[in-house]
This record gives sequence, structure tokens and C-alpha cells, in this order.
Amino acid sequence: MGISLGSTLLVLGVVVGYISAQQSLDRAGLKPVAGEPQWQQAVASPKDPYVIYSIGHFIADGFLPPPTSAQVYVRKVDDDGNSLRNDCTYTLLGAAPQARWWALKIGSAAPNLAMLSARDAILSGTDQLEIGIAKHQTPGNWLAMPQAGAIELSLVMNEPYALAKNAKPLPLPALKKIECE
Amino acid sequence: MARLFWPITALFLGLAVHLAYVLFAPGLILQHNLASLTGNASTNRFFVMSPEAQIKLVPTATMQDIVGLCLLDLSGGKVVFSANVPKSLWTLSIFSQSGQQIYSINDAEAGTSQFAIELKRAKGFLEQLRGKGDAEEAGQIQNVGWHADINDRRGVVVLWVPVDDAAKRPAIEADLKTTTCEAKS
Repeated sequence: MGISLGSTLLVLGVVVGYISAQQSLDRAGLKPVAGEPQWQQAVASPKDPYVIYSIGHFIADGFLPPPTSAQVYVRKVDDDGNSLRNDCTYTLLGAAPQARWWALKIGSAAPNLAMLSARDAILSGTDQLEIGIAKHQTPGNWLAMPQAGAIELSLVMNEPYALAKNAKPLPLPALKKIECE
Repeated sequence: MARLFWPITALFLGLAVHLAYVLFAPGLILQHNLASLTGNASTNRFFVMSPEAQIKLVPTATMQDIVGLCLLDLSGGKVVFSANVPKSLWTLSIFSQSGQQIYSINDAEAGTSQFAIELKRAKGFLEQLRGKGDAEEAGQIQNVGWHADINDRRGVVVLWVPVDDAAKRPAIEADLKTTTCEAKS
């Protein structure tokens, strides 16, 4: 009886250890952005004492961690807090990302992944960025909404500009839902 | 006390499994991903990835960018990475076997479009205690530019170059392909 109870506890220990490790990796790697409740920053900071979990999070998803030269922001909801949907049209609006190079990605993985970079986007005269995110082409900048799969919007800022002393970073773009089919 | 033996043993076993997974699984997954995305490319050789493969590995890359890779194997000694990069934005990052970024340099920091980085395995604790290698290496240091010590035997060098004009891509890619990553004995 003692052996049976012991074996059960050992198996339980292994299962709990495995599941807790997987869940810890799932939850790591994303931190809230001050003043931007809808955006999260994907980061594996070497200063983080739990960086091993953050690194594991990206690698478990198939990626290398974002390099320290880049800032990656992600969101899965619109400005009203509703999950992003394939059948909806959205407008991303805000100041042009303050970085030497930037890119926007939407979708989970190829082929359900669309991208738009600093190379292709057209900014307004006031350095404002406006992008339509929809299944069908929209006037101006357009990011194709993936036909299927989980929807996550990523903003990659490579080599962000250094901020002047005591200056606040510009807010990240807003994402407004226009309509749904 | 005897009653607590199995619960305590199970607790420590769970902790061991948790730590083992967190510490070792990412490294194994990374090696597996690199092997499948690069078609089991040989180590210490620089190559440009396909756009489809690069967006599956580098979270900051898009299909229009160019990503070059060198899978490092330092078990045979030093590796010299000699880069030939465009006079525009680029970043070079070196990751250890476990995915930790250990070195980074960009165009502004390098200030040149041709440079070399000598990569070698960091000395172990015992080697540092014995001071082994300092005298031997003093006569072997070559004028290669920068040096980086890597704790792991394996790693990966990622060279990322965004392309601001599609028409320039073939020329940039051709230049980039002259980059080398070679083991030096």
C-alpha cells in the first residue's frame, strides 16, 4: 500500500513539475506597457532574474528571443478590449514609430501572416501613421487580415530612437474597430 | 516523519522536472528548429536564409528583409566571422545554444561595412584558476577586430539587414554572401 501511494505521489510530482514548467514558459516573455493597457512588450531582458523563462517562451514558440536592439509590442484586442477577429475591419492610427526601422505583423504564422514595414508604409505630412486592417484592400496603407488563425498584432521597432532626458515616449498606435461582416 | 517521506520526495521530483524542462527543453527545441529551418546546414558556414524560413526564426524579420545565419560550433577552436555588410542599417546578434543573446553590434557601433569578430569558447572555471592559456594565447592573437567569448560550445550568429528598396535586394544579398564564418585552428 505504501509503495502504491509513493508511486502515485511520484507520478503526480512529475506531472505537476512538467505542467507548471510549460505554463510558466507560456506566461513569461510579455510585460505590460505603462499607459498602454492594450499593448504588451515581448521582451527577454538580461536584467530580468527570470530571463530563462522569457527566453524559453520565445523558443517554445519557434523563435529566437527579440534582440536587445529591438522592441516588440503585441496586442490581441482592439481599443475597446475585444479580441481581434478575422471578419472585422480595423484602423491603426498613431504617430509613426520612433525607430530607425519598424514593421507591423498580423496573424500567427505563415501563410496566415501579413506584414507591412517602414519601406512600404506612407506617412501623412504630420508623421502620422494610418493603416487599414481588413480582408479586402482599403485605400492608403493596408495590412491584409489573415483569413484564419489566431489574430495577434505585433509592432517591431528596430533600433528605437533614444529619448531626450525626461522626455516621454510617444504613445503606441491605437486600434479602432470600424465594422464586422 | 516516515509519512512525509513520499510527499517530500514527490515535491523535490516535481521541482527537478520543472527546472530540467525550463533549463534544457528550450535549448533542445532551438536546435531542432534550427536544423529543420536550415535544412541541417553545416556549422561554421555563413548563408542567407529563405524569406519563408527567416520569419519563422527571427521575430523581428519580415519577408522583405535579408537574414544571414551562421551555426557556430566552437568545439574545434575559434571561429572568425568576417562580415561584409551594406552601408545602411543592420544588426548582428549572437545567441548561445540556449537562446541567450550574448553579443550585439549594429552599423552605428561598427562604423564600417567590413569587420571581423573572433569567437571563442569562454574559459572554464578550472582553466581560469590555473591561468592556463593566457601565455599561450598572447602570441596567437590576430588583428581581427572584435572578440567575443561564448559559454556554450554551440551558438548562432544572426545578421539582419532591412531592405528599403526591393530593387536593391539582389545587390545587397550578393554583397552579404561574401561574408564568411570559418573555424580557425
